[in-house]
Amino acid sequence: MKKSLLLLICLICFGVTSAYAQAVQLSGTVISSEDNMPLPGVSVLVKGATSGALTDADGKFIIKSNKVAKTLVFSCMGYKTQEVEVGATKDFKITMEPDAFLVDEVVFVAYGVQSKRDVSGSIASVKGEALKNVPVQSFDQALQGKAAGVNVTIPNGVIGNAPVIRVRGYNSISGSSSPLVVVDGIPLLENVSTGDRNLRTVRTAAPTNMMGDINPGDIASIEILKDASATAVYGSRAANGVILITTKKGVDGASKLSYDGSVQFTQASSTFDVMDAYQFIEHKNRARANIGLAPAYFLNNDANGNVINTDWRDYIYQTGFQHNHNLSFSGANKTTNYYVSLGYTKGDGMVKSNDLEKRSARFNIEHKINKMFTVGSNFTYSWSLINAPNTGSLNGDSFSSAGLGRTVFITSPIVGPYKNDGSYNIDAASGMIGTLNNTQSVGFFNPVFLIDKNQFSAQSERLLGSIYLNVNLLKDLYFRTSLGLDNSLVESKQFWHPEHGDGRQNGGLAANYIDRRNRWNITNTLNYTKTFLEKLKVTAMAGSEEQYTHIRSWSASQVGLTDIFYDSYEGGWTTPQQPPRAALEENYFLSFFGRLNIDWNKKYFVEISGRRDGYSGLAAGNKFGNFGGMSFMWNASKESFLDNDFFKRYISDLRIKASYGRVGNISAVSNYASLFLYGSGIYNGNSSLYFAQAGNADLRWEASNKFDFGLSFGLLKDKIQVDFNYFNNTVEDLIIQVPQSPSKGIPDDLIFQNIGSMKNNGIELTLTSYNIDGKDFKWNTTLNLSTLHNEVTALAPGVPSIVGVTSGTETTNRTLVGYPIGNIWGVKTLGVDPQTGRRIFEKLDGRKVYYDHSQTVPANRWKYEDGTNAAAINITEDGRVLGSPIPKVYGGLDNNFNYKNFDLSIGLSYAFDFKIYNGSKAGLRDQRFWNNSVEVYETAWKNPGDITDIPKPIWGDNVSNGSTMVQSQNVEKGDFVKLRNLSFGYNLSEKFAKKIGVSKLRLYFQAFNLYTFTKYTGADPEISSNGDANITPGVDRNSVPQARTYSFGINLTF
Amino acid sequence: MKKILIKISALAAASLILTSCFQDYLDPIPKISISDLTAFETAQKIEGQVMGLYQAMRTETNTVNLSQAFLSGRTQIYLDIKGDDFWNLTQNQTTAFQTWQHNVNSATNEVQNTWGAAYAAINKINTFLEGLDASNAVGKNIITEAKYKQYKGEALSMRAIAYFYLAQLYARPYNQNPNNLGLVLRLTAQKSSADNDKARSSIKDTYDQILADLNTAEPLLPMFYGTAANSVNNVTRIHRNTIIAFKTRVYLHMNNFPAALTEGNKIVSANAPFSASSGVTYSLAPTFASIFLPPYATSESIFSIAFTSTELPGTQNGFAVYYTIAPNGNQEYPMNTDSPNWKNTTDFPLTDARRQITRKSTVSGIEYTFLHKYPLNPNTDYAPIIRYAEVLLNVAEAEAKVNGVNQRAVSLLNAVHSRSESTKTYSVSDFANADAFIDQLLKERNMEFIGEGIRAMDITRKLKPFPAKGNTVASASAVQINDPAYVWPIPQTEMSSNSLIVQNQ
Repeated sequence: MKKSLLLLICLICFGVTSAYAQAVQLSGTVISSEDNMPLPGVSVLVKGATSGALTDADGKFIIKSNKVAKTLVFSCMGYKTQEVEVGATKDFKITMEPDAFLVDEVVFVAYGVQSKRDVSGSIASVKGEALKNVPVQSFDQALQGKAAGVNVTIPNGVIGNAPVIRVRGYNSISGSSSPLVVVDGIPLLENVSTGDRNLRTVRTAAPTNMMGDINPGDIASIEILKDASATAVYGSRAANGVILITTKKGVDGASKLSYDGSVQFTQASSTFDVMDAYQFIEHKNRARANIGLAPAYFLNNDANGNVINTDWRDYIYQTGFQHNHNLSFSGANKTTNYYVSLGYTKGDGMVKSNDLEKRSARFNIEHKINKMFTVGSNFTYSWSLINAPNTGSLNGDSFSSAGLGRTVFITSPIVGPYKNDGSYNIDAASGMIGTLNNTQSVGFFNPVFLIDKNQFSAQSERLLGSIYLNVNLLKDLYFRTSLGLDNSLVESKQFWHPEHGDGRQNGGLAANYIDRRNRWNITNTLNYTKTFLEKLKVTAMAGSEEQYTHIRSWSASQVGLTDIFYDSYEGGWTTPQQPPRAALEENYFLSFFGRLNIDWNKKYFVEISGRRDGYSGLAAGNKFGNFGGMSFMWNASKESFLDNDFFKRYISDLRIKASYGRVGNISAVSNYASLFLYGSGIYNGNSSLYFAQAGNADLRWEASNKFDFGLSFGLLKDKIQVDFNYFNNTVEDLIIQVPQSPSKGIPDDLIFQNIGSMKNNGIELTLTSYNIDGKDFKWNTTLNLSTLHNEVTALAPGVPSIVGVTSGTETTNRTLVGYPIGNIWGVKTLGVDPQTGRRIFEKLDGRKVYYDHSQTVPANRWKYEDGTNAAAINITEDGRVLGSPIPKVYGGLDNNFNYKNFDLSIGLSYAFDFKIYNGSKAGLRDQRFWNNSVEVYETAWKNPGDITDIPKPIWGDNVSNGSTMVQSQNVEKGDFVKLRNLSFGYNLSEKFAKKIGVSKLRLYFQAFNLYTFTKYTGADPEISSNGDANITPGVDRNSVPQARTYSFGINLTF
Repeated sequence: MKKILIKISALAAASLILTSCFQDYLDPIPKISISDLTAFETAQKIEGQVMGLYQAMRTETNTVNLSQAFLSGRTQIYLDIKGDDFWNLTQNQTTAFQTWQHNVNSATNEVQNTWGAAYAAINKINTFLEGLDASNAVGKNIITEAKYKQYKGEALSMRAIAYFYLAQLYARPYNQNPNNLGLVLRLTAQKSSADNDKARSSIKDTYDQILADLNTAEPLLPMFYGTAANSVNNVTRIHRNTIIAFKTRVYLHMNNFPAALTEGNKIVSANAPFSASSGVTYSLAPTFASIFLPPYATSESIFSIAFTSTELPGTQNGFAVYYTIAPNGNQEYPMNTDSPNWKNTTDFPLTDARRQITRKSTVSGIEYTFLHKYPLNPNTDYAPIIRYAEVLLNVAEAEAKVNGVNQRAVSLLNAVHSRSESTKTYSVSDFANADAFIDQLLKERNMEFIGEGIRAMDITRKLKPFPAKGNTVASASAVQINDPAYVWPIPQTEMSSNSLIVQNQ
């Protein structure tokens, strides 16, 4: 597989240089020293002439030269270039040696390609092969732990839930901190989430990740541009880093047909042990007795006479099964290359009624018309349908009474989903799950009814692609124009059944949403490359880009189902509702950019790049902003004092880099942010217009000044490669909602202003070690480690802090000057008083306050140590910073082993030094009718002298354990090491494969998220109940856990 | 080389052409919002904006927080329940329990929301006034001169009304000391982050501004909309008599009785039966009950905030939620049947029609009397601002203060009283002096306007304490005039963003 990658690279570099001639004919075969197999795609040139050829699928080449060829040059990226004297030989047998462990790969950069060695900016590169078989729903999840400086958090195991990606920390408060994703030169539509003000949110009824429309099997490589030098050409959208995705192309001479198939099994990685029926009855009735109340809970028997003892996990989680198929064929000749693929996926997730069906097709083609013109196109179409129950795990859903992540905790084990007559256990009068003979509630809704009857779906269609034309104007100069488009259509449906759950109140509710986003993009670039004086290589690129995005969405809903036969909006309903959401917006970028690369003798490298961006969302006269960066690299190993055998024995390829630049972030500026707008309404039946938005004509980009210093070298003849970077990133002009005097009467009393600042700095280290490189056994290790120090350095006047609220209910985070963004904020507690079993709170002045919920007069519940009444502890007056949820150290460790035809890889990811608010634990200790964790049953305070962290249970106590406010005992260290990925594969021997008529066959087993080493007591320390939101990270509130996935697959190539 | 240059030039030209094609895209025009640049381009848009101002006077339109309601009922209710006409059964802080109990603070919801909603309306008015003049809509023949005057008059009137209601809640009474702190007078459109800091004017300056707006508006406004006979249009939109009527109230709050009398005489005839001789021809409605029934356009109705079945007050914003029995209302505030006025069966015998517009309902085993002026479900009852009965009593008060207790003053009182209660007719000799007459007038006003947002205004302009009140569920002590709780504090949000503002003491 590595070979095909090399071929691809060869093609990109040399595919356009073939030429034609007559006279002398030379021919031969090129093989690779690695496996003695023919090597296609090797460039064979007659030295000093323009004639040359590429080897075909069998490694054969024929050259006709009208000159007398003296020397042939064989080159292929990734292999050492060979010069061979022609002499009398007419038929050559050439063996190509791999170049030092592939360091000399090319990488894709903004609007182009560079040799990896020549890149002076900071770029992390991940090959498509590393992602292809990983059993995840989208490529972005597979990036976890793969690249230094890139932190990927998968929020939970719900299908289609987008991961949170941060490249070198946070660059915005009001806007998005997610990187720009560019696929084959087209900037992708942004994910629609609440953190994304740029696109007005129309929430889909089931989670959809717009990155999921890219078939991971089609990806050739992913580059993550991190510093300002690498990203500056993307200007106003570059502050969060840029992810460049390049899809596959056909390779000359190697037509092939591949099939990749896998089946996968998905489970919840970790769930909580909650009390069983016997424990529940004992504990809850004791809590009632502790406040003088009669028992309320009793055992019941099911239809078979057995005690009802329900483990709700059995009804909510399952082992999901999914099968994936990818079929691709590709090939190329001298003038045309193509890659076509089909993908199909269908299956269930780990949560019941959460399923997915996905189809995709890709067609990439490139054709060289003549010496001057090359045309090509890359297109992909994808279709997906996701059904998801309300898992309570998406941003804004944490406290939903119907959220399965929550109901699985709190629903009592003493009732089941069905009554003994087989009907659903629901109580029509209260609208809650039926209590049987118990006198108190046993839960909110019956989750099984919700899973069976309510429906939420999102059906997406996506067309993404481009058509381009390359014009070779001169030998050194070519022009490229490309027209790209990204069209996304999502149709979401919601159905709430009238009998039970959220729909009961309205007699049922159905809503349909349509969200259509169309983007086109035109890019023109002029590229010039010339080497002067044999040593001075100059590469220049100048271009312009336009991007237009149109967003249309509308919705409709109805209430009052006429007959339970219907289960859709289109069915019978009594009452249409006001449309919940609608949007009709557009935005446009007009940009000019350029880049100049100079390299002197491969020793000194300078890169200067810049971009001027115009954005429609900004005010007239203020539309354009300038961005730029520059970098310098010194290849010290080329210096004479280091370029000697003694030095090279220890250190090779020593490079020192530095870059600085300024890039922007526009995501906090909504499409019409600069305008003064009127909305329409009604007064007394007459149409009305009202002043609805005070635009800010001064609004501009958030600016990110990035400094990067890097050092890279190889040790022991490149057996160990080291990349080290230090980065410092100061973000200015952060857009913050600045409160206005209410007497001004500005709509919402807020104006967005560029007023805050923030910084991120840290180091990144990547170590790649080729530990053993024998004939049969190979072992290599890659370690990446990143640190991040994030600090907010200024907020607006009148904004002492920004309060982060989880799901509109719980104040969990605060962003303050002098601290990292989004600190966990809560009150400090000091355990449980061993004498009385009361929770002890600490006021800011250090005084202890004890809470006793059994006091019937609320004023008497809070007491100082001396027994006098204290004011109730509250989060506004008594809250403090309880830690930062942003990991200060994170990364990954990959080990790959090859023995003969077997391969094994083990990937770890890790994060250290951060805190998580375990809000789920607060819920699991709530002393209302909520079910509790077994820990509560076993360790709750009973007698004076008991040392425990669970107070004396008092029926109805929602204060002592943190349900009403964040408390320090629920804030935990999140440090973890995760066995992220384990794969074991077997390649059928070449001989045997040939016998059965295939060229390659690999069987493999992969496991994803296999085990987590952590002291965190929640389900998983890798968590984000608030999705991608900047100011509320690190909150674990009623989410379903991560998925653990096992897959078995086959890679087959004909 | 030349060929190459030509090629490059052609490409460059093509790129430029492409680029210039889409240059307009940099200045997009929203499709579902109207930009301020075009908001005055058609007569319909300008008319729509005026409707938007009325809408803003009702409820702040932008925010999702619909409790930012202004004259939808909330403000009138606060002015009712600060007085002694109601008890509270729910102790619900979102339905103004703290206001009823006189223990709001600067962060209490209604303190922040009412301020926010009123000033949002004021800024919409200022923005409209500024835009209307800047647009030169008359010069461009978009609207007629008459319409221009009308719109300007309506906007100025609404600004005056907004400031008047704000003054009732957030400033000490004018009559206590005109130099006391008044309001932050915002008279120009606010669209930017500038001007956060602005000091409060004196209460005298505040009232002067209110009167300046009303006096400017009066000649600009039309005599009536459509017909001189009262109609829904004449009740929901401001015309000349609306403003004259409102001025009688404003002058009473300033103890400027001659001016109140002058204004009142414009729309109240010299002798009974009292009516307005110019503009909308007001007279008392024949029966008390008819005032509170659709279409809310009796001959007596002057100005009310409209609701329709598609424009409801919103959760907990309308009168019915507070006062009306279940299921149409939430029966949170029953009538205080222990109040001196309700117990006064001498002046207001049980047969008084105003006592009939009530209903009984049992809550937690106790039977209460609930006001029934807002009976509809859905809650489409108009929210009253002013009606002709008040103008008559305002004129009676001014007449007595200026000319002593004369026949006209007593006839005005009799006109209002005898409509609802026929057994009693007052005569001049019943009153020793003007103050005695006015005491009786205040009792009459209390009975007449229960639940219409008048009670607290009558208490404060007469510099009386808020009486104690309560039952077994909840109680509130009396509040003396110098007590800080006598008026609401300035909201915390204003205090923290406006460095020049001074808190009420």
